[in-house]
Amino acid sequence: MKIASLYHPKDVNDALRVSRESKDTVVFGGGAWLKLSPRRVERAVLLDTLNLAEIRVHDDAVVIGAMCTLRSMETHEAILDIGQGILVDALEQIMGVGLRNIATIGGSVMGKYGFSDILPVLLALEASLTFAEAKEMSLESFMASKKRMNDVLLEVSIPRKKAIGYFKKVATTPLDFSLLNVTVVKTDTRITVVLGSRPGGAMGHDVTEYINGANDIDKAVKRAVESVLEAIPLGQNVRATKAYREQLAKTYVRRGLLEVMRDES
Amino acid sequence: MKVKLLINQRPRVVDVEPDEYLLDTLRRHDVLSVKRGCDAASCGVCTVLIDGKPTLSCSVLSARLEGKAITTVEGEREEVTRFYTYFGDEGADQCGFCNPGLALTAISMKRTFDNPSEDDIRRYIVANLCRCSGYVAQVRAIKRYLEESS
Repeated sequence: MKIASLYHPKDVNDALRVSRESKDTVVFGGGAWLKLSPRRVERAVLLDTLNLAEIRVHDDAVVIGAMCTLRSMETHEAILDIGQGILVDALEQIMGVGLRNIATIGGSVMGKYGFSDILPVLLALEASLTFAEAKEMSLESFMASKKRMNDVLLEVSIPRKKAIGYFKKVATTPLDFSLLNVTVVKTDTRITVVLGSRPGGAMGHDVTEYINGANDIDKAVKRAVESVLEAIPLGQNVRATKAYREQLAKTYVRRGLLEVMRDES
Repeated sequence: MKVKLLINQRPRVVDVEPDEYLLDTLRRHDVLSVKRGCDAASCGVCTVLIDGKPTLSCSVLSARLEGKAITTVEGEREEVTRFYTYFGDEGADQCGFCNPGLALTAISMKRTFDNPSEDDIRRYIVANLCRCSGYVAQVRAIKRYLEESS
């Protein structure tokens, strides 16, 4: 990415105002993927000095500032507790420590990257977002929206509820983007499966109705897997074919469901 | 634009472009231990410590680092010499191109972890690529360095 100038806003409102002045103005997160973009921007708005890197632990949620790095998240005790460590499990598999000390949670969310290993987990954990102007919004609504969000993300909030999680990244090498990633999260009320690197953006599907109360677990899991494959379209890109992704999804969604049910018993 | 950096404990005011990366700034100021490898955040040879944390200098804009302490192997001579002793002893050193990044990553581990396991070490250095070795000797060297020099 070519950048003509940088802007350090005085506060969040200033950042919002300046970011809306021109289409060639971009709000930056950590900037880890700048080199992958051929774009030229006139002005980059930096949030570095706005104290948005904190992690706050409340009774009902863990609130992560948008400029918190992925590495700061993975080493935080409250994050380790979420979904029996599922979030840390996903974070640790994103490139290396050197990159995770740059990449931020805000950048990961706002980028809506199809290859993201963190968005599927946040979706399954029912995370919500706080913006400077739009205020509260669920991550699910944000991901589903085709509209470009012309706002400044301030925080990502993850509910603190009892949850059992499973995360699987399938990649050719540890440093490559996922061919597919599979997240399964079971809470007291629902079981959610989220597929990422489809290769499009992460999508989730509620399979509670197939599993809860089932007498024959194998049959129930089979039906749940089929419903996931019907509800979440998988596709083809240079990394994998549609057929291969479907085979991976069948295998790992099944394993994930069995694991979260086993962990409960 | 001008940015104040603490490069290897020396305060410097450097002139940088808005889209200049730390790797370019450092090499332009003769900090030549920092290598350019993939230049795309994948190989780890450009690793430096920013406020003590291992960070890929190829992917950080210099202009964002106002007031930060940047450390390379030139600024950690004593610790790096100690580390290289174990590297040499274990036969982990081949062409040497990845050594500076790996040394700083290992030094950071030493200051972060208590008794890391071999798995911890492998996970921590996963993005420090070495095209000569198979990592076995390197992991052995790092393990000894962390155990014996702490």
